[in-house]
Amino acid sequence: MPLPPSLPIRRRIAATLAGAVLAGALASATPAAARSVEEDKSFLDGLSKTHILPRIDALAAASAELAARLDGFCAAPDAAGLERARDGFNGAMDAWMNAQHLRPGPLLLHLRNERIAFWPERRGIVARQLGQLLGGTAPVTAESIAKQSAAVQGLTALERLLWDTDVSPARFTGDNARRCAVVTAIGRNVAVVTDEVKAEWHELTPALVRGEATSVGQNATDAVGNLYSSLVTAAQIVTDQKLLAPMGPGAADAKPAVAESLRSGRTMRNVTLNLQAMGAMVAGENGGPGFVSLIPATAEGKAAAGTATAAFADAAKAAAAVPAPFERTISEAKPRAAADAALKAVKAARDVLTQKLPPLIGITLGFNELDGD
Amino acid sequence: MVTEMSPIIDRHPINRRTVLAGLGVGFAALGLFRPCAAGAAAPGGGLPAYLTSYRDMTSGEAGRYGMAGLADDGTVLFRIPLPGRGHAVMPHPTRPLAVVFQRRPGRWLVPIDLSAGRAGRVETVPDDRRVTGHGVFSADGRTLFVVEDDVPGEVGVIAVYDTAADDPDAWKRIGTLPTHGIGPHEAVLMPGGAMLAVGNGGVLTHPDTGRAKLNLDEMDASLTFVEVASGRLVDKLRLPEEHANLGIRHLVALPDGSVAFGSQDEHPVGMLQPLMGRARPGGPVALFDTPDDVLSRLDGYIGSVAANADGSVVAGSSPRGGVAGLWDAASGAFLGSHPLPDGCGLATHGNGFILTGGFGGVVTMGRDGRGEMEHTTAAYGWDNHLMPAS
Repeated sequence: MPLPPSLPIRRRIAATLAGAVLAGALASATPAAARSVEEDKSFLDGLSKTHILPRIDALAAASAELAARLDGFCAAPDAAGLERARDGFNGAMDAWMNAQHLRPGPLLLHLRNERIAFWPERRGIVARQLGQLLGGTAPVTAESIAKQSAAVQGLTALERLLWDTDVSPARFTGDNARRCAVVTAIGRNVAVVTDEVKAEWHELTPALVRGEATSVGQNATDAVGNLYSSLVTAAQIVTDQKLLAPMGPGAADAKPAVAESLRSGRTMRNVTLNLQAMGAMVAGENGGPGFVSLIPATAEGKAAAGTATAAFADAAKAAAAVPAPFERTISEAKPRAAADAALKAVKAARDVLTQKLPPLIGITLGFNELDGD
Repeated sequence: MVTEMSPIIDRHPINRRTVLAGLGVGFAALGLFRPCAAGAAAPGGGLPAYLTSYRDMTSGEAGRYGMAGLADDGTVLFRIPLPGRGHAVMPHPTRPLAVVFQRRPGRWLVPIDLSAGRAGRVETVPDDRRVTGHGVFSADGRTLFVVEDDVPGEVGVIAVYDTAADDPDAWKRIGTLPTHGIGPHEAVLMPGGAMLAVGNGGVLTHPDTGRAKLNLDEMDASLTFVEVASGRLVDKLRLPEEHANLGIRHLVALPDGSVAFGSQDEHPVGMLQPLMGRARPGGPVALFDTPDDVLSRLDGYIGSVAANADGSVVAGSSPRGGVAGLWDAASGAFLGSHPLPDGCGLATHGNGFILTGGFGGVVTMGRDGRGEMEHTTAAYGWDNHLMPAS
């Protein structure tokens, strides 16, 4: 029973990971601070203008820039062009990390999250699928890439093509020209997908602010709850997937192969940007509201707002202080201490989201609605 | 492996009395028995008892998880701490014991002696296996089927344990059956006991990446029917292509030889989709009717399914929506719904249902969803599944 695209009332909260989410529109069993619908609409208005749309716009712009740079590089592959392409990749990844926490709505529909960056990946799947693509003979275009496995559609595949060992301009010319066809097609596909996300966010925002049903939530209260849940999910992804999984319980158990963006050396930069973005959604930015603005202005509320803001700032700072290369840092006892400290700070920020803030802003996190159980 | 099985729906009522008598003695003796609220009958008085995993909302990480017995008025009869978060609790069909399966990706299952009121030795599965959180006994209780992921093989398997010995320490893992699908979650024994139905959610995970879903773009959900004696695939059914984003995860066997299922939306496509249905080997897959406003509320997520005592009504719970829906098993017509915040655990209660929630709520309802009783024990978060003690 398809609904008209103008009324995308399906929502989905957690995506690729366990995400603690809301108890829905029902009265919760635990009393919490009550928010008015008007307050929620005003919050959504401010948040979309100062936080969501700027970040979504930046993602689309950085992706378009990446696509243009890849086109430019492939017109005449040389070392300078490769560097420019890699810079473009870094710009797009930065923008993605800055927007990755904005999960409800357009990014969650049609597997766009996975198509922008397929991570964490099923072991070896990106290499395997890329190998088939590079070894094939059928013409490669953005349109044909969009129909392939998500594993080859986005930034994770692109990183491999631009940074794999022995990548040089010569790998993109002559008999290797297909590599260029593939990278330009992927770049354009990412640009198309992020442009769709941008267009849909701009289209839905007026309805969102009016408190109507959108792909972000069924009403204003639901949308605020889903955006908060996406912060919780993002904090869990950073903790569990980006840090705990590669770090393992100790230096001897580290599994750097499962770290994100290892080839481009961006692992902790990704984490830092994620934490800064989440912190901005908590504290507010560009003069707009963050979730702490929903805390009642009592002495306890003000203190909690300060604690929450500081927790994300501390976590981002600790993440930025982890020395590169990540794979060596986590595998050797001494440098690992910095990664352990970052993990501790990230967990503290996560706990603020899961424990401290919810009762203060009238949000109840459920227990049974975790993904896939 | 040879197992002789009678229909699972023909459990003799004596079992329940045996279990309940055991509960009363065992838990009173150990001091685990919690005094009942005024007016509530003590165990052993023939009241239905239900088993579930829980989280202790008042505790820190240590000692936080366990399994508990509930009376149908929501009273906590007993609780037993567990080494981690459990998922489904499966009572033995004839003996006063149950097995708790660790939440996925799990490493263990643990037998619970319901008369002594204690957990037995934790059984750890092989390194390359992960428990999905579900399992089921054969009708005679001499075999236990445990649903697992074969991690390197990226396929679903059913581990087979010989549980003929009274002492769970003597139970033995004796083999595996294929689920003939990937990402299995719940398996149920079909009437007659010769066949298992398995909900293969279709999504791969890996221990290195925890619960992260690794193949959403190529997920392949299926409902498989597997012959217990041979592992032979009797039938493999999939949802229509337009619903390929739905993972079939939770099941209940119905007395007519069909199985009702609940699914979960793994990657939204921007439309409302049916989440409940029914099928039998040979097909077809029938999808239940649900009003749009209820589907919207169910939020693409069914966390547990159950049938009422006569098998005429199927219920499916959505903790995300905080609501359980009820459908006519034969026609698939929508009958009604009942709200409960974070409500997920769902079991037969007379000819209706009992539903438990993550904020400690317990409600009972009739076959039309009309509420009968409501009770909250805020100190507990009741976990995803609820089973009658026997």
